[in-house]
Amino acid sequence: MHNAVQMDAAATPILQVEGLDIEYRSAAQASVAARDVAFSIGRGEVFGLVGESGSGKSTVLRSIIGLLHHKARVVGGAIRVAGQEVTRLNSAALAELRRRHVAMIFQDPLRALNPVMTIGAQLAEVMEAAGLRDRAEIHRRIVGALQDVGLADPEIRMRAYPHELSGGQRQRVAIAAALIRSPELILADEPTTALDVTIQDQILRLLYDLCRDKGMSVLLVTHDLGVVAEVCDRVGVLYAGRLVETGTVAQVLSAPSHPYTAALLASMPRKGERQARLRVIPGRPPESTIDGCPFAPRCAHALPACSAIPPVLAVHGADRASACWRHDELRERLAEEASVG
Amino acid sequence: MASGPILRLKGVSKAFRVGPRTLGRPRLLLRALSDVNLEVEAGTTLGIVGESGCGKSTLARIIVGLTQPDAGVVAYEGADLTDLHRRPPAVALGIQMVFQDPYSALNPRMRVGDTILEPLRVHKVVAPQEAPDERDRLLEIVGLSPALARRYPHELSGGQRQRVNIARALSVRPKVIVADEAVSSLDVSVQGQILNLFSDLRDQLGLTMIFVSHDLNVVDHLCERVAVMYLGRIVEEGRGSLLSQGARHPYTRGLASAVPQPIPGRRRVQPAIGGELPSPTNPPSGCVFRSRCPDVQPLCAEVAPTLDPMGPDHRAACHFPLTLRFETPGGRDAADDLTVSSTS
Amino acid sequence: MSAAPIERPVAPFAWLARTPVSLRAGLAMILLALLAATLGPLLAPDPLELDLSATLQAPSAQHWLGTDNFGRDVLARIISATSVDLQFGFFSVVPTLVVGTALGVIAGTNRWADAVLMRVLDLVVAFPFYVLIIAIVATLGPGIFNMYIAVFLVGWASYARLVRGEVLVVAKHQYVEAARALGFSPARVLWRHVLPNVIVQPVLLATTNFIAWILVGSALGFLGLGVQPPSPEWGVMIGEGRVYLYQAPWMAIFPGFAIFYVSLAAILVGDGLSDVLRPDIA
Repeated sequence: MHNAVQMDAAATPILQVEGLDIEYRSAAQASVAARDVAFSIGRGEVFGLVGESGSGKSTVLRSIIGLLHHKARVVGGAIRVAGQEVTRLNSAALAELRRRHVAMIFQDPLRALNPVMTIGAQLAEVMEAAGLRDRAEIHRRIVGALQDVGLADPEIRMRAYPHELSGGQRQRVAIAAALIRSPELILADEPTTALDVTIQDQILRLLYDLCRDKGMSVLLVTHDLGVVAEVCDRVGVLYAGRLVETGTVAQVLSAPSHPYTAALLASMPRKGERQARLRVIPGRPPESTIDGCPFAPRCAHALPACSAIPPVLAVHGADRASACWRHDELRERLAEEASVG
Repeated sequence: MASGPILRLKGVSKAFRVGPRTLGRPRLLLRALSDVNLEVEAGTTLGIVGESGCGKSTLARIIVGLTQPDAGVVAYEGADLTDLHRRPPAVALGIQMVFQDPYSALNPRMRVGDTILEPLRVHKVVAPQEAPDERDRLLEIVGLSPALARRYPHELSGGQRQRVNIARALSVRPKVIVADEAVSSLDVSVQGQILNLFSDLRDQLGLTMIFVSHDLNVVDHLCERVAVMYLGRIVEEGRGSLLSQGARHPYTRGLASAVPQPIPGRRRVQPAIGGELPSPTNPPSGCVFRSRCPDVQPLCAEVAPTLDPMGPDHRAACHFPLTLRFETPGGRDAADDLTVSSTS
Repeated sequence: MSAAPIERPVAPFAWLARTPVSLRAGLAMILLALLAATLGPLLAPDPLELDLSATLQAPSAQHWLGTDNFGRDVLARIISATSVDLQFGFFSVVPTLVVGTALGVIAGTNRWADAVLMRVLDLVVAFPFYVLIIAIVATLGPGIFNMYIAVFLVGWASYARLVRGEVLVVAKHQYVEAARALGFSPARVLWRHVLPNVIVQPVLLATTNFIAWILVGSALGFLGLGVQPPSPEWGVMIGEGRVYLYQAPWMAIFPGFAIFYVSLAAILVGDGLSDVLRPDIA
């Protein structure tokens, strides 16, 4: 893997999430959106947070810059960006945090860009908010940013409106808007899900290269383990609001230590494996909070104890953690299961 | 299993008028499909893959009779279905569609049981008094409890709704099922369940299936045959395995290697295919893929390649087809890194 | 394989218990108003009887809601006006709702009909609302039936425009395509799959229009084009009471309450109907 990553990881992580609990409160009841989520992202590292819809992955990402839905609340735990605790910041301090350290890239670039402002005006606004006043300097930086994200004819593109660009071009602009202030951490929420596969391929590579060059860290939220394999250094797998396992991409994808990850890998149709029935996970994720391990009802390896006591995310070896009671005894079987496909 | 083509498309073309309307019709002509020829053998599963704007959904709609082609012939079991208004109704029911979005494909005002009963009653598939039993049987075929018949669509999960969509399509006892992105909006773990259901139905009911998808992994898994489309044309057609090996068209190979695989340690430096899709209202001259092709030659701008045989059961539309070479199945070989053009 | 057990309603009105409270409350309020309109005149004093010795009297045991400037009993007049106002609300809303919705559905599904209809619609909405109604009533001559005709000629437009837009949205939904792919007739597709999904908006509009039209009717009455003055009408009563607002506020306030009561009922019905019509949102 990448030696640079391992060296940087020794320094203060850009993001530390510890014991994060998030609840959704409606009139009737409170439901758990995230429970006891813990991970950290080192400087220059690309961390993938994977999960299916409703797993809480976007909620966790949004909690980092205080963009939670109005019904959601952080009820416990800590989030530190560059060492600064952010869960109890007021809105002015959050705005400062977003300006100085963190940028966000959304799934749908058309909705993330203002339809009645030109691309150039939107990028200029970002820099003016960061305190830049010199028009010529702003112009120069915009042209540079658009070139960085691979848009041809930046001078012409600056005068275009979002609807005049393709989906891929819009996402390039959104990335330019995120990178132009040189943030330390980029939060990317399914940034390529709305794009075609060849354009997704281009954008993922662009994002990866730019972050490498500029030493930025990325939290990439996605449902696609393939995307994780392509660009991430480390990965956390979320299921029903709980982190079930974390580790390097190589570890998690080739030797998963949680039955959910193994089953998910086995259920994916893969290139070159044809005609056989897929090994699917029966049932679907729990809709309400359940006692014990949330995956136990669908788990092929569950014991009675699993439904009674929720497993904690326990560290196993360097940079590896898993929330499964049977982690040690299942290790070999899970690796085998995942590779059978 | 094969017993002659059940469905044949010959020279099918379709164009839409798009763009601003001032007076009369819009000026721009978007050629969604150009001269598509396709044969589907009874009992087989054909995958149609391509990116958005390649015309795959228009093709699916023409096959099921939701869109009228401008030119060409659609023949099903020997009957000419080209003219939508003259489609023999009983015959046309033999081709049914499963739609992409399980949320929008069900009438929110109808209980799912009624959604399935309606075609049974309208087309008198069974005697009226047997219709409820038939409804329950269909629900069980797709793996749902008949007790769900009283629910409204919003009370079901995405996977359950897609099962209802499938049951509705099966209600009129079709021989051909066209599935347009039928699993793309489902979560991975649910997607696998629906894919297994499709393959079970194909085996149990002897259905012919046309699986339209942008997800090459899904098509590769499910389909014996595959047609790759780009900008309204079929650029390569052959056995399903050509998505993982043996592709002769540069687009097919680039598309296949652009699909992220959950296998660590295969990160490439360059994207598989650079550039953006050209505007379908103003496609490149000659070969439509030439603006993004890594192997482009001067001839490509002059002459449009035809879909020529490349071997048994294999056709591709390329003047300079890729040579066959050994590729590790399921993985990406070093040659992939050569299929690169500059980023846009 | 056994048929799914189908629950049959036990009592004939069991379905009513499953409807939203707001719908039941609204319907009960309207039922009460209808009762007042039919039975009220038999019990109350004559609404036209003048008593110039007892003008502008405050509410008392004899005149529960007081008397007006001609000594007429305000309660009797409000009750007597109920049938006029409810009728006007009903006849201005229901035909326009039905015809406007039908035209909107046709326009939303047929390009030629759409082109024609939208031009007619532009024509209708190009004129200021009251000017058009007054012009039509003036041409046809005053009177309540001519007022209905004027209201109908103008009123359908808002429903047609609203429904047309909704149809264009709904027609893009895949369940409409799915119905077509299953070989259903265009009439069935419209009736079973399009209409039920567009009907909520015009019905909600109708419940608010119900009140708006009562006020329009009052305005026309005030102008002498609708209900003619001696016979009671809520709007006309408010108009008359306006002059005596400081000496005899009951003259205007109680008819105002009547309008408020009916609007509340209409809003409750609309709210309840929208829940019944849209199970996916309720």
